[in-house]
Amino acid sequence: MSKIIGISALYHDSAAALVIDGDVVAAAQEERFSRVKHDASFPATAIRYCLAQARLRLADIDAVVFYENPALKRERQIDAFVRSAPHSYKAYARFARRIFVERDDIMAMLDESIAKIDPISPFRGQLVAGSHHASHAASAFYPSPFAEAAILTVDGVGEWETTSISRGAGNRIDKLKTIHFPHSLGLLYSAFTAYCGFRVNDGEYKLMGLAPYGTPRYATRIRDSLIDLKADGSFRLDLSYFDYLTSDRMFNEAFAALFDGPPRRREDPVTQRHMDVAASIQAVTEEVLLALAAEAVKAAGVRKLCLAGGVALNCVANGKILRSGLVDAIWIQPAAGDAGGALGCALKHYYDTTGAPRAATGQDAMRGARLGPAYAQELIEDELKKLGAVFEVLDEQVLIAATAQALAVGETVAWFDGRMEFGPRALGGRSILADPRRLDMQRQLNLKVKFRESFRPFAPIVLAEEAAKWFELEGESPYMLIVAPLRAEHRKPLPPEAETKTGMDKLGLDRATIPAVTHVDYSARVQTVDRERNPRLYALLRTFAQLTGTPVLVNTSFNVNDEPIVCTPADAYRCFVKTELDRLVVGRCVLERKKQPPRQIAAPQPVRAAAGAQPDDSIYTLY
Amino acid sequence: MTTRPSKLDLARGGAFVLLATAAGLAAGPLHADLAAALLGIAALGLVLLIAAPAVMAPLGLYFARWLDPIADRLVAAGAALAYWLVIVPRRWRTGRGRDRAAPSYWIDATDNRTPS
Repeated sequence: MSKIIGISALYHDSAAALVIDGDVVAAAQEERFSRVKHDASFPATAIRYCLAQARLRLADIDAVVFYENPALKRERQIDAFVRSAPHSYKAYARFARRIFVERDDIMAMLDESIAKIDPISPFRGQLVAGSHHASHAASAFYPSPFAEAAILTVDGVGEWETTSISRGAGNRIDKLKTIHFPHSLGLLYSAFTAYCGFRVNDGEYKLMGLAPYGTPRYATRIRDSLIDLKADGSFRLDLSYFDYLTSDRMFNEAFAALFDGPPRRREDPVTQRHMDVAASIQAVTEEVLLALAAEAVKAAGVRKLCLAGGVALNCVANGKILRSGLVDAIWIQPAAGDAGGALGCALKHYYDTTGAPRAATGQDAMRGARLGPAYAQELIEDELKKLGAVFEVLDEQVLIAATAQALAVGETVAWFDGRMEFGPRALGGRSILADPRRLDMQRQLNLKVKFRESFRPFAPIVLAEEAAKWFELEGESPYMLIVAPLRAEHRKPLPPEAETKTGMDKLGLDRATIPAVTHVDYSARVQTVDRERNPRLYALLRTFAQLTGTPVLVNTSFNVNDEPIVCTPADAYRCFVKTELDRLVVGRCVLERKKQPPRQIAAPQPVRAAAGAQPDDSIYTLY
Repeated sequence: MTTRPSKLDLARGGAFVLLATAAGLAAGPLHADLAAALLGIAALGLVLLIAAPAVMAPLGLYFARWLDPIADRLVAAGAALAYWLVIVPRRWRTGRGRDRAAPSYWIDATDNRTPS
């Protein structure tokens, strides 16, 4: 029996995954345990969880695989200083301090950290370094439902690669072509994220959500000045507009001048110009990704496409690839960012070292991305009692009926069910649910529950068999990674004065029968829910549909802005009392806000004290 | 696409090799951590001599002190030279910027296949 742990760590979104004989048994991001969003520290708690899930000790593990090659990454970092000397001297001084003074040896540090996890039953296997884009490619192909596929990975940068095309067949992945740093679609998108006042490696989703409010009037300028895109999808950036080779900044003054003004500071209001910039880079990104997808299927000779890497989380572009006719089918790793690299490197090591056959069953091997911890009913009740929570334990059918009824009358419901999700999306394990038919629900959720920007849209979950009746979506989207237009029959005619509205003024218009999940361009980031992957959520949706005639609910992650998604029942309760959520369902326990002790509501505590390493806000390509 | 090193590339390369060699030979006899010192000399020497020698060159020499016998210093200089020889061809290959006339920017990766 082969037991392999994969690790991604030390930049952002540290994670661990356990693969036993090619089966994905467990995976989790460290942030969920440490309560530091995008936690970059060594994922000791995530590893402990993976071991506990499989009832293993560290001594039982055959290999621990790190998701990238630190030596190659160093080579690229030094090369970046060489390329940009003398301008890079400040960045180099910081790099040199870390490498030569602090003696930052990643593999040695991993070795020491692993030894501390289980001193009684120490690790005796191999510690292996993988390769960043090979890990992404493996995470995209091996768990996919396809026997063979083209594989496209696109992100900021791994060691050298920023983009790669591979061909997967059976248990084998052959890399075909790559694009190297500093030419990176991910870094291009991140430069615009920073320019529009959002945090790099965190705010890219906000930029994508902002794009539909604008018009892409800068797209031509981006094509003419920033990126040279060839017909085969390959590209290069004009580096004279970017500072990420030499400093902590993504872009420079020439970049800002190109877009008619200074960058937005985080506290500044979002203006129409920022919305237009967001729309422009989104349009160009989609254009590049479509060209890359076309080249991938051409180079691999297969019309099925697997995607991973941070840019694969651009679900608007994913939807366009799916509808373009370029591919017959698409599968995107739900943990497409660096966390998924932990899973990919473990799977790759398994197939590389064992040569075991890989059977494609037509179903993916991600178990609905529900790879994190679950909590038994007794444990849930114990935790809630310790916190002084007031709750009822209901029979399953009663609970489903009561929750659907609460949703139908407009309550916001936190839904904690079974295993936690692996990856950035809440898919029904740690979700907040609401009625999408209510015009004010988006605003209410953003401002009173999530405490986040009012322009950000919410996503719908829909019964899988009803999805095509509501959205222009063929096939399933179980991981909320495809954006699809709302069908015309569910759109409402807008009043004449709506024609003149621009930017944020488009918010709040009654444009659809499910306005809370319909973005201003009538798009929606759809999650299809089926009985097999998600039986309780399926039952809830079905009951809600019987009550209301609408098989759709709002689904957003169970957290508040700038905190990780909740992990434990105690996290769930603390998050519940610090927001204006109406109801919390944890296992078979139901908690109503109005019944909670006043002291809990009056003085909510932080979800949990943060204990990990705050991710570096600087541009990691240099450090 | 850049197909040849520029004069600046060559100047930097030459300066780098000179510094790495000088640093290695001038180093005092102390305990060696060869890998760290090699990288220290290579990287510090390269950037610091070119970028800000007055400030940073002494730091390069400090790291070179870890090298003990003369042979190690010579190895350091040789490794630094080899490192540069790796970097320069890579820079030719990846190029520095956009080239509207180039048909493609893809780098062939078919020699990098996973074992079956």
